[in-house]
Amino acid sequence: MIWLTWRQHRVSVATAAALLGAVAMFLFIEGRTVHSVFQSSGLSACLAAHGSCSELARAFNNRFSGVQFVVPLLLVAPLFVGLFLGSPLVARELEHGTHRLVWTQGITRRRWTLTKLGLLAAAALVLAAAFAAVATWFATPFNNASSRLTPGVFDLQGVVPVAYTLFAVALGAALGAVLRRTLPAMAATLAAFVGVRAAVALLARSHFLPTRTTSYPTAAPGPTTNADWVVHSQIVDAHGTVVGNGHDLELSPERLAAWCPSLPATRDQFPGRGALDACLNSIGLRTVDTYHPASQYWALQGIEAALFLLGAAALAIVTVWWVRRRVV
Amino acid sequence: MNAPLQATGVGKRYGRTWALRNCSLRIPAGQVVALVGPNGAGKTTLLHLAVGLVEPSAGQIAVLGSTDRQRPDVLARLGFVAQGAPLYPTMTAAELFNMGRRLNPSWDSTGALARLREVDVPLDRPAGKLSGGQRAQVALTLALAKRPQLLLLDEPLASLDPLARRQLLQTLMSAVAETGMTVVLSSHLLADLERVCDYLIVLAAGQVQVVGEVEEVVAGHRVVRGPRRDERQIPGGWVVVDAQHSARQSTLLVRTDEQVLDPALEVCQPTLEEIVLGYLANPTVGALTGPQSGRHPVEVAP
Repeated sequence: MIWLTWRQHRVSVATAAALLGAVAMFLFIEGRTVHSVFQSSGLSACLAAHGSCSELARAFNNRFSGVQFVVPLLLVAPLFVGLFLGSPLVARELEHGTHRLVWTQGITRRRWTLTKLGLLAAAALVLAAAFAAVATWFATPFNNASSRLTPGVFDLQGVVPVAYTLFAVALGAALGAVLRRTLPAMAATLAAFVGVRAAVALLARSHFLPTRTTSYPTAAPGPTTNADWVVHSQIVDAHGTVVGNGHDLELSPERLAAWCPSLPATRDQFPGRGALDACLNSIGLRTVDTYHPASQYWALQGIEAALFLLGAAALAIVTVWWVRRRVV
Repeated sequence: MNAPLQATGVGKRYGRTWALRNCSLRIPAGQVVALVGPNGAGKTTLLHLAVGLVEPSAGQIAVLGSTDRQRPDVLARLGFVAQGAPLYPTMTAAELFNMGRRLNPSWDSTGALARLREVDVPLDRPAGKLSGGQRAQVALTLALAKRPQLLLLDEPLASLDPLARRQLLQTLMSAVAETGMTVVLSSHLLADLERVCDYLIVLAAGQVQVVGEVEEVVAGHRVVRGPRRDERQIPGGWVVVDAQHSARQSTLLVRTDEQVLDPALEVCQPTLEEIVLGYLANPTVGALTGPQSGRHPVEVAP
C-alpha cells in the first residue's frame, strides 16, 4: 500500500514540492538582502534597544514595498497543497473507476484510505514545515511596523501555515470522496477553505484569548505598542459617550467650538497642536484600547493550529467512514 | 461444499427505482456461470453486491461464506474484473502486478507472467497505451494471480474483437481447468458464453428469470407447435414462457418435464438461446429458480 501510494502520487507531490520550492528559493534569495539591510540600516539594533525607530522603519518598508506581492503566494500555499494532494485522493479513483480494482484487492478500504491519507499528510507536513520556516524567517524584519498578530500577517508565519496545509489536504480528500469528481471537489475545497480561514481569522481569532483593555488621555501616547494587536479602539468623553472610533478623532470646527469655546477655529485656520492637546485634556477625552498583547503570539498560534489540526482529524475520519460506508 | 455465492431476497434500490429486486440464488462450487440479461437488467448491480462495492437495500448476500464482503480475507480469495477492465493508465503491467503482490496475501507471480507472455502483452508499457484486448488480458491476469476461489467478470468480452474474445476465453478456461474455481461471467449476449458455461442465470428487469444448470434448463423446456389454442387449453403442468400465434397455429415455449403425448402437437427441444430469448421477451412469466424447480415450478405473481 505504501508502494502504491508512492507510485500514484509521486508526480503530484513532486510538482507541489517544485512549486513551493521555487517560491521558497525566491524568499531565500530576496530574504538575504532584506536581512542584510535590516542589520546595516540600524533598524534591527534600534528595535532591539526599544528606541524610536519609525523613521528607520519607514525607510526600510519603503525600500522593500515591492516584495509585498509574495503575501498572497504565502497565503494560498496551504490551499494549493490541499487542492493537489487532497482533492484527487479519492475522487480520481471514483472518476476513473479504478476504485473497483483497488477496493477488491485483499486489504480493507479503511487501511487503503488511512495509508493514503497518512502518507500524503506526512508529505504535506514536511513540505509545509520547510516552507513555513523560510516564510517565517523572511517575514521577521517586516514585523517592525505592525504587530505579527495582525490578520494576514499572523497567518503566514509560525506554525499555523502547517496546520492550514494539513487541514486543506483532509478537506480536499473528504470533499473528493463525497462529490466523487476531482474538479468539483477542487472548487468546493477552494470555497470551503477560504470560507473557514476567513471566518477564523476575521471573526474567531480575537476571541481565543481574553483581551486587555487600557484607557489613556487621547492627547497622550498610549501604553500599547506596534507589537500589540489592537482589536478595537474608541474615544470617549468625560461622560463616557463614544465620540470616535479608532485612533482618529474627527475634529470639525463646530465640534471644536462646542468642546473648547475659547479656541477660535475655522475651516482654514486650526489652533496649534499644543493648544489642541491642552483643550482635549481639559475636557477629559480618553482613548480606550482593547488589545491582545504581543506576548500572546505563540499562545494564539498554538490555539489556532490545534483548531485546524482537530478539523483535519475530523475530516480524515469523515473520509474513512464515507469510503467504507457511503461510496456506491 | 458451500455455495461460493448465495443471495437471499437481495434487492438494491437507487432512489426510487430497484436495480435488482428479490433476487435469490445459490451458485454451486466449481461451475462456470453465465449471467445473462439485457442492458440495465441488474447484472452489474448483482456483481457489485457480491464484491462489496454496493450494499444491499434488502435481503442478504454471502460470498465465500461471509456476508461481510469487505473483509480482507474474503477479498483476497475473490477475483473481480469490473466492466471496462479499469486499470491505472500510467502503470505498466509489471507495476500493476507489483501492486497486486503487495495488496494480497497470496500471489502467483510466475503464473501471471507466464499467462501474459503467452498472449504477448508487453510488461513495460503503460496500461493506457495497451489495446483493449491487452488491457482485458492484464485485468484478467491480475484477478487470476490472486488464486481466487470465486472469479467474477463483468462484461469481460464487450468491446473486444473476435480474436481477443477467443484468447481471453482460452486464458480463462485453462485457468479454470487448472484450479477448479467458480467463475461468473456476465454478458448481454448469450452467444458469447454459451460454449463455456455450464450454469445459467438470466436476469431481466431487475429480477431473476432462470437459474440452473444448462442441461437441466434445456431439458426442462419444450417447444410445442400445433393448432391454434388459447390459454385455457393448456395442461396444468405447463408454464408458458413465450407464445406466438399465427392464424391457424400456435408455437409455445413451455416449461415442463412431463412427456407431451398429444398426437396433434409437434414437440421439439429448444436451444438455450431460444429459452433465454423467451424469458427476456416475457420478464413477468415468473422465475425458474434452483436446479430442483424443474419438477416444482415456483410461481411468482407478476
